[in-house]
Amino acid sequence: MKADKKIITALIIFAFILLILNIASYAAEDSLKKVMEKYETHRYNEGISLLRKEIDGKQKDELVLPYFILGRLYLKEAELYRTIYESSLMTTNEYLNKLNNLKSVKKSRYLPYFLGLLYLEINQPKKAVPLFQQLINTGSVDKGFKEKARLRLGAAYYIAGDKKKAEEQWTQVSADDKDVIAENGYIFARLNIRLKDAIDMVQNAVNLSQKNGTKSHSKIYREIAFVYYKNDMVDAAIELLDKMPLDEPEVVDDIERNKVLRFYDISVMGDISTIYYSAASNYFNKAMNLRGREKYEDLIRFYLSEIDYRLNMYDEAVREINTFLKSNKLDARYNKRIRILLAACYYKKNNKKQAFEIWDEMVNKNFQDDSAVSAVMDTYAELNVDAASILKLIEGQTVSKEEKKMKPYYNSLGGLYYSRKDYEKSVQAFELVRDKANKNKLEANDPVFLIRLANSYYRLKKYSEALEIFFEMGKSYPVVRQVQDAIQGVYSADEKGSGDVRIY
Amino acid sequence: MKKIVIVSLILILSLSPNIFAKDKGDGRPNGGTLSYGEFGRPATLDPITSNEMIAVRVVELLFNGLVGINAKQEVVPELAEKWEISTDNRTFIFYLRKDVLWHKGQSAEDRYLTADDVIFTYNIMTHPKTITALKLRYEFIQEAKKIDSHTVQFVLKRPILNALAKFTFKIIPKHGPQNPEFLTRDDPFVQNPVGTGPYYLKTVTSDGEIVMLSNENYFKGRPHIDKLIAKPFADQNIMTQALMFNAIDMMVLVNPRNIPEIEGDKRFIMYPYNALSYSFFGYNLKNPFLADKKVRKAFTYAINRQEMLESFFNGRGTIISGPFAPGSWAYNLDIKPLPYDPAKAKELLAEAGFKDSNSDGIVEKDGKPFAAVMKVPIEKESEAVKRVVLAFQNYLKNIGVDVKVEFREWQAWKEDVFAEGNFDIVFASWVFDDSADISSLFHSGEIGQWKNNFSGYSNPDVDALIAESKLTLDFEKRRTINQKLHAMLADENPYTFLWTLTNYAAVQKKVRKVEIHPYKFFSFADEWFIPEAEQK
Repeated sequence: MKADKKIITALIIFAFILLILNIASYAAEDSLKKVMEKYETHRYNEGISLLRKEIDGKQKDELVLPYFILGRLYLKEAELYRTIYESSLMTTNEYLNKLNNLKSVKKSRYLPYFLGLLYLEINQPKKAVPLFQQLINTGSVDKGFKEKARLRLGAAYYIAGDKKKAEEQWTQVSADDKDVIAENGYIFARLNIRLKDAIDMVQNAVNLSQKNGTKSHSKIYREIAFVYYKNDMVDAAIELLDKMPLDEPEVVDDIERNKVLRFYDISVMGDISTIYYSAASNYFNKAMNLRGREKYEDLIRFYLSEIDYRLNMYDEAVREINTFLKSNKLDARYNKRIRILLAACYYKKNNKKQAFEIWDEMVNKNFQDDSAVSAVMDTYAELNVDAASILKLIEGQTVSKEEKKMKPYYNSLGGLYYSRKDYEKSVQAFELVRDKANKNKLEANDPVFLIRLANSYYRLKKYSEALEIFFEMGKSYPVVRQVQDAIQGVYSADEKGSGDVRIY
Repeated sequence: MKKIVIVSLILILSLSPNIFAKDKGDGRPNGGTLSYGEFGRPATLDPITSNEMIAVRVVELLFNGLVGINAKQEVVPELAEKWEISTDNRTFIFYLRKDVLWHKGQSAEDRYLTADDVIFTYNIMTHPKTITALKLRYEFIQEAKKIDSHTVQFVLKRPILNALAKFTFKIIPKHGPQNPEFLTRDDPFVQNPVGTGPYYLKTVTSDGEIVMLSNENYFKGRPHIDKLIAKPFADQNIMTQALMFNAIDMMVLVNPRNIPEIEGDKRFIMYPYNALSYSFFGYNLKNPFLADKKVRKAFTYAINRQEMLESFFNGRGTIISGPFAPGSWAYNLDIKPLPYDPAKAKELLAEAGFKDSNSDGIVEKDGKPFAAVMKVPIEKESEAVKRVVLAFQNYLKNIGVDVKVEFREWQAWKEDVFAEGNFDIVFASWVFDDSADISSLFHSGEIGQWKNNFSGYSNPDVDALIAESKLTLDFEKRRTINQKLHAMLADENPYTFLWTLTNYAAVQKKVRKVEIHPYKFFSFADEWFIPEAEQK
């Protein structure tokens, strides 16, 4: 449950008023209106696609607004992919562990590898080490896959702080397979080491691929994209991502007759999210360098500080926030929200006292400002801060405002309950936000909200509710396929039906 | 002397549980009436012969199983207070509660649940002359044996996945049915059931209203709400109006078109519950024209499902591609719904040997024009459903097939479809519990009177996969098998799979602590209550 989601949601109304005013005077008014429709109906990817075509061949002076909107669209995409990523980590973790705990059935030889990847992703490298070793020692796995496992084993050692053992593993890997080479480059990029080597490696992989004319799994392009991103080649990274099918499993294991398991690349959504944050930042910065930027400057600073925070660049975020606070000419509510973010930066920098001073002030002095309270709730939920005091205040309050206006508030409240593992209350709060007539439709519901709701249902073991949400979302975002597969697996293992079926 | 009196009193109290009702003791008030709208009246009210959703809901109020499933999806004790499972997962011993009283029914006598009732239930539901879908479902049980008056043992032919959850089947009393060997729809018990559940059947009125009263002796404590009344409606729109005018307190399923109207009314709360259900056009494969897969596929190509969903249900649902709901673990995500393609439909009909030789707009084969009768239950005669079947008629007319639509009263429709096979096409819906078990729909062994495979679909490959899915103890293998079945049945088209619609129940705000089971609906209704001030 992330603070920026609600901050941005609350701000969006104001931002759009500005945007719409400007759209009217923009030369390609119709195109921008179409883009804004995509934005409002949460079809960010389609909006990006439309707008990128639109800006080709435009004069620089005409680009402030399109760049600003592109920044916003990428920011929304980044948030969405981050939320799907979190959902995938949760569901995949449970699913793979269920598979691993199965007794007296034939297991997939690839299971240790993907469990290992999961543990790397959730920063438990010591758990990953024996799993990669197990894969390396499995006779029936091909050499290339073992080499990739060895690279990951090195990464696990590296993250666990044993750089010597990491090097030992990496030096054992032979560099004649393009997939292995790309994987090597990617791992270096993820570890933020030898970025120059990483780019050479992926270039080599691309050359080998072109030379041999052999088809590669789409994962290789995502890995190359990430290396490009780490080397400040964000546009090239995005170009690759745009061409990539995102619902393709990395391994389809035909274990026996009538038993097929699919394993997915768990990192893909986290990486895409990071790249999209970076793309958003780039477009905002491009807009900041153009004439006519003045009316957007404060908003852009606001968003840039969010992005810095998301990319774990807390010092940069604090600097950006301070500049914003000095210059802000927007509504005073922006100041409150950005101060909540400032406190989150302090918290992340382990300056918890200063963080709580700000949050307490926000809650106690601004209790009537729902958006400020919502932003604090979101932040508490994200950081897993003990929220007992704020909940006591909230639960004692009678909500008197029109329910529709309270939707962002209930959304935050649902998130807060979710972080406290009170899933029943979380669902209750979220259901007040949901458009019931179009309950799973992206046009009517923010997809980030829908995923949070799906996660709550999943936790309550109401798997079919969660699956329906992802089924609808998969039509626009095929990447959720890995979440669907994981939930289906968990549901199949847990179902308590007796085989009943009735005509209706 | 005083001591003797006290001892006698204790003895009397312990022997006469009816003297004092068992209160839940949760501090919530008892009292009030809840009337709810239903889609017609069920043919039977017992858990063995009934085969429709309306009955599932009533049966859930009247009966209990050995075990239950709570809201957290855990198997919990019901009539059995505990159980033991052998290490080979084949022997299940259930220890029954000793304080469970049967509803009185016509009898004045208090009767307690015993092991004999459990054995009786098993025997009667597996008897060859009992017409029930349960027989196939419980074929995995090899033997049911009474150990003592309150202990029963089931031995399975083989271990199965999630076996304990299968013992949720409802127990009926040995003294219930007139015929002690098998149960038919003629037995008075199916109309006047006696159970152990939180409510007992008081009466069924001449209007078809099912009136149920709280069971004061319910072993989990008396349910809070005094009276539940199921009121049948022939039309969803009228049911919605009844809710809006306070003639009923609850609708078990809101017509998707009415969701915004009810959502906007502060008197109601809408509860989502995701029943695994879908609608379909089912084909009678005994009709030689419809026995051809190309023809059935042509029908699927001929109809614009998305347009129907948008136009008649305001898009409040999802188009499906096969025999599972999208919320099911078994849905094959790789299979996409066939597109609307009337040209392709005509091509397939031509390939199947149909041609409009006399230019009357209707295709023929072997000199016989392609005409078919579609049967639709009258309870489905809501405006949206009428539009769906009329649209279907038009779509098929466009490819040269003449469809005649007949609306039939619910019981007559079921006679036609399940007993007589007197139809060419039906429009209906299936609702599944979590196991998403399609075996009774498509296994060739389930063809026959009052069985679910009314299409008469028979495919040895499908039969083999169904059998294999029942045998496996590996949930992933079962998932793969079901996904294969999805692919095969999507290709074979015994049905044109249509859509799954948005499910909401609408309940008056006065009803509190509402929790709805996505399939059985009333599993937790004994906990529902109405504050005293709001009780009618």
